[in-house]
Amino acid sequence: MGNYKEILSDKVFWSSILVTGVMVGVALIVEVVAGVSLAIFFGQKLRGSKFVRAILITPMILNPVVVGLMWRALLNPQWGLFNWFIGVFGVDNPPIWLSDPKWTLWTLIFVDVWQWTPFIFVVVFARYQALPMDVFESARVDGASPLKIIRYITLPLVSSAVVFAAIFRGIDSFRTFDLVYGLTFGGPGRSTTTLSFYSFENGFVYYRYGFASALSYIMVIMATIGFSVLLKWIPVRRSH
Amino acid sequence: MKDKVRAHATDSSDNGVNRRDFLKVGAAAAAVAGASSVGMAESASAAAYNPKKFAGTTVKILLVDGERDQEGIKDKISYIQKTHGIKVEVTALALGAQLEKIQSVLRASTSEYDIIDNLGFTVSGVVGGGLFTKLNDYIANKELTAPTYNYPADFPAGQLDYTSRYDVANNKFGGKDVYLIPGMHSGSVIMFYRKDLLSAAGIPVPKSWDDYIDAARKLNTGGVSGTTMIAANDVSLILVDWYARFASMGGKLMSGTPGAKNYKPNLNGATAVRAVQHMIDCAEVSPKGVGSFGFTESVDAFSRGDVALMLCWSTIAGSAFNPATSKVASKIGAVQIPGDANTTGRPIRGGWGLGIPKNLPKKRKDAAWMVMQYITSASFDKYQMDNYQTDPNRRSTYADAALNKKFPYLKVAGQAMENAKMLDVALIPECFELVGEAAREFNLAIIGSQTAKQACANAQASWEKILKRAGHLA
Repeated sequence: MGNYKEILSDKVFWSSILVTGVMVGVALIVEVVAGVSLAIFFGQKLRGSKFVRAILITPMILNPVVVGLMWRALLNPQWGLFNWFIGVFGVDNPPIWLSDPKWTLWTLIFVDVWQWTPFIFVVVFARYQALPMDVFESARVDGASPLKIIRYITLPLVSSAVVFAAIFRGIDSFRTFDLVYGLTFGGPGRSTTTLSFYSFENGFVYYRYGFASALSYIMVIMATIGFSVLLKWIPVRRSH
Repeated sequence: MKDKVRAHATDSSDNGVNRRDFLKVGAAAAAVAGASSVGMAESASAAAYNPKKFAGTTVKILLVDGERDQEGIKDKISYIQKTHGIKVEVTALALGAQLEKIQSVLRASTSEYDIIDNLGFTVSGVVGGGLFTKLNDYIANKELTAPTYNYPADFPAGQLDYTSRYDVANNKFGGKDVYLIPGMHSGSVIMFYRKDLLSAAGIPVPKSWDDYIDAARKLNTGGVSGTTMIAANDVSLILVDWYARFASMGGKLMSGTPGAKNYKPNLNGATAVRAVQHMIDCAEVSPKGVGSFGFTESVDAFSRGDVALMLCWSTIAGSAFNPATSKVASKIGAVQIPGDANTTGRPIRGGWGLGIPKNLPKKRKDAAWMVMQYITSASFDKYQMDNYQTDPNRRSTYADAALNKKFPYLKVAGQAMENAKMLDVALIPECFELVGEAAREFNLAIIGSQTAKQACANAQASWEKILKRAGHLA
């Protein structure tokens, strides 16, 4: 009980809830929008799309710690390729992505989106490929515009896959630890300390197993409540 | 002879040694070690010692990854099999995973590993917790220990009190009981500098912290940064850069003792603030983004030729002298870290200690000792340094003429090992938590989010909170 009391009066716990919340919320929204858009785009069977699709899913198969270290190199202010790349587009004095507290959380979210948008894409694309084509042909014959087809036919039909992928990603994002470990180690200050990372730090760096376990239990409760509510709000199967 | 070396070393550790003293001690130790030892194979012919006594067994070793410690052992697996008849298996895990693994195997009914390498900052937790086998009887046993082993004379005295001897009853470093043997590497912090740049600018090698920042500012020109440092949110910010400044400026980190519950930090004193401010000043003449620099970024920047001055663990930055990995290998010098008007440079003591878990059957412990003895021997220490440039554990290696010719920083690193100071809070299990909290605050000061004074006040408050929670401060 002492550990729970300490957690509830711990400023870092509350700041890590905020960091985790922003990370889950923003990353999930961007990943869902981008993943679904890509699935619809690649569903048009364009030339060379198989090759691009294969490249697109590569980030997903990398270990997040490796991704963190890789992006640390890419974002290096001295010789990182990322700054060179945006320099081509006229950005001459880019922020110091990993040591400016104003930018680190957004950098973390950006890397998370880079790595996990392909997951949403793969799941939604698989569902999209399995849809009966006659529905789309009928809509076209009836004169529906491409945007109306997406809005009234495609999205409702793939919504179950979107919800499934979003819940998986939401849970995964909620327990993000490895990317933080490799990229920012929770800093600067506590600007990228997520709940999972805080739990890891207490358990395996500071040997405060009781405190870390209590934090983990709180995370389980939060995840259970959060995603139960989410599932209630977003029905997986539409009524008609 | 051994006693003479030992006595001298003890004095040196307390009062600091100069280069001449160090070389004398090293040469004497080398003579003792070298007179009779080239390798364990030769010593097999000694009267009672039988390296094959436990032939047919397997010994599993747990090391840390990323510090090249396992490389030498892997090279010697077949040699150990041949000379000892023991099969050796090595597991090397990243630091966090290794620390976690150690905690679990030491508390299991029987340890999965026969030899475990322990980071110095964790010794009070694992050895103080009574989880390792006492080695005094092994060392004294002529049947199990080669006459050439030369423990303790060939090891820096301060290192023995840090990663070898521990007083479990009183939970204190040092004492008479041996639980670990220094290894796989030791090490301390030294200053690396670009000889060509200092010479071209007519600047002498900095001897004080004021000289250091002056030189860094003058050298910060022409695409070269004056200095670099480990300034990321990482414990090494404290262990390498901040503590080197603080201790050398005469700072005293703690007052009181944990047992008396008056163990109080001095993080908001003038010296602590001055050390942080010095780092803030250095950040202005460091490469862009130094606030996210760990070892890799700092050493890489120095090895690329982008930096003029750097403090670093010698065991990590030694690779800057290797032409295969450094563009400026022939242009580098290494010296002791700067001091202050009335103090000499006093770097932090680092290093690891190898031990045999207590929760092993006797036969496995005996076999583990045979292997541990070999991988902490003088011949292996030289082999590992020569091939992988990890900092040695033995004086005879630091003083080895051939190695010094090849790696000119070695004698400086050896001298630093004799003078280095143990981090005060290493004697309590909360050491990493304290260091992590201070690193976080000082990192924020270096990147400009708070002043040195605020960072020190915040670190002081958070240390006091942790020490109170742990019962070390009433």
